[in-house]
Amino acid sequence: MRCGQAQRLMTSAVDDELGPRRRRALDHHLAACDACRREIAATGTVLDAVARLPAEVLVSARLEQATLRRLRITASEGGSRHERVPWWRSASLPALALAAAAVLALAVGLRQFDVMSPGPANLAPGSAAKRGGQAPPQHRVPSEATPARVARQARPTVGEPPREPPAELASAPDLFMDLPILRHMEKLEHFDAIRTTTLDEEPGPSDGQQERSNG
Amino acid sequence: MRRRAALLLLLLPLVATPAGAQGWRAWDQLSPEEQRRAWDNFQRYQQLPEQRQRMIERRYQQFQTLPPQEQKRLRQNYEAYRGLDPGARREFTEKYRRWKSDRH
Amino acid sequence: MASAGVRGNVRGKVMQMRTAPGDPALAAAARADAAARAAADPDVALMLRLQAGDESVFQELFRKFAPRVLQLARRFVGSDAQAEELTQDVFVQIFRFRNRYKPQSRLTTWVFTIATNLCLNELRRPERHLRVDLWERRDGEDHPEGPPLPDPAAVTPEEGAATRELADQLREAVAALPPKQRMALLLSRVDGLAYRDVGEAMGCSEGAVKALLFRATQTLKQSLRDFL
Repeated sequence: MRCGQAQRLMTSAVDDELGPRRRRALDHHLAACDACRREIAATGTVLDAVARLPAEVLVSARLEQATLRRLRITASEGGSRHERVPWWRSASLPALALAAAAVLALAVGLRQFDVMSPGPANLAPGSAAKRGGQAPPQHRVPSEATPARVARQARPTVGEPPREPPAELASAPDLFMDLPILRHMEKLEHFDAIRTTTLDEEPGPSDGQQERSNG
Repeated sequence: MRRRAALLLLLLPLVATPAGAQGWRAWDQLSPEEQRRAWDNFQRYQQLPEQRQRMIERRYQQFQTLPPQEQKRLRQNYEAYRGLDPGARREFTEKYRRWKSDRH
Repeated sequence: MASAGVRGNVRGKVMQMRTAPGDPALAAAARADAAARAAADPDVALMLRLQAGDESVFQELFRKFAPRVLQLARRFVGSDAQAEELTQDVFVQIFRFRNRYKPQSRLTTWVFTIATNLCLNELRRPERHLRVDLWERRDGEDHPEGPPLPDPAAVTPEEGAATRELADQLREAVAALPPKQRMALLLSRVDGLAYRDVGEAMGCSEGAVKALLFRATQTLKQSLRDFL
């Protein structure tokens, strides 16, 4: 074993995280190398000093009360899965005011405009048949396909959500609603920078040094 | 009837306000469409390797703590990203790879 | 002490129970397994009570973990106020993600996964890129890291002088480390997580943890050469 390799193993060795084979190899090297023995001693000293840094700090009663209050509010916002919270109870005051204004504007506007109710995207008769007659288990193909039923079947869904969603889903529904955003988060955070990146052979003009990765 | 449908349409965005504006929402507070979307995504998520699931959880935690304007910006960028045609999407992916390699 | 007795006590790898949603047989097996673990481990019992809706658990959880979470946060953000807000965020996330906790995981690791994620995320925001000496003494503050808890291993004044100088130099050196190296070092050495658990908390492999720690240690040895 060379000194460079030995040095790379020293932190793990001091932390007792080396496997037995590598430990033996390191010990064998240390037996014959003064410099590495001094180096591992220095590693131990540094890591022991780090370990003496305080792991805890006193937490004020104020912080405890504020956190518990916030947790209770969060718990009550979530509510029971069995209890349906009317939308207006969960909306903030500005949202309610906006809703009221919107209702008023709508009432005025409806006098002048013919508002079309939304229709299903695909009303083509026989669209279910075009898909080979395969319907999701929850949707049996009726003999007469009404527009609403055909539309439901045409949607590429895995199925209707269960009345009682699994706990994982119920505890963080926004996570799953926003799954596509989370999957592409880095791209979305730096969207503009990526769009203006050049793909020429020559590197594009840069403002300064390249960023170094953290650690 | 038509007016009622239009009213519902108009008020739906207020019910389905992004989490960043109203805070975290419970299952019962989602619209039926949102519940379906969440359910579909949940099933896809279940199929992911555990490592990837944890990465998504981490990102969700990060996303939750972003200011509302930043969450809104990401949602807008997602809409723009979704609106790219296949050619533009391919180009964007190439640029993303280039941008990533330039950072490291 | 947090770091004592924990090193090397590596739990098994988290088992992913890939159940189809609503599979009753596997769910029953999971419940039985959780009950057994709860009987053996008070942390697991705590989380199972939280998952069952017992809000009295909040205070217990907070008092158990907040001192460490707050200390970690103080080492990554620019002010005590931000560290406290971050600490609150951690506990809110613990609550929201309570159903993601699996009894096969160590609760400490799970809590630190959330704390690590939020701490490192704070640093990714543009406004956080200002260089802040986080552990610089604030006005009127005797202890830059906040009032410490009583230290049963306190040294004599004579021994303390040299130790304090090393400690001061060390704090500066650790604060100057890149965030991921700093996090890996603090989690493993101060909070006593095994490398595998550090990897789990940071979302990286054990090999990556070793690489981070190697680089961190090399940098610290260089900074503290005069004391070694």
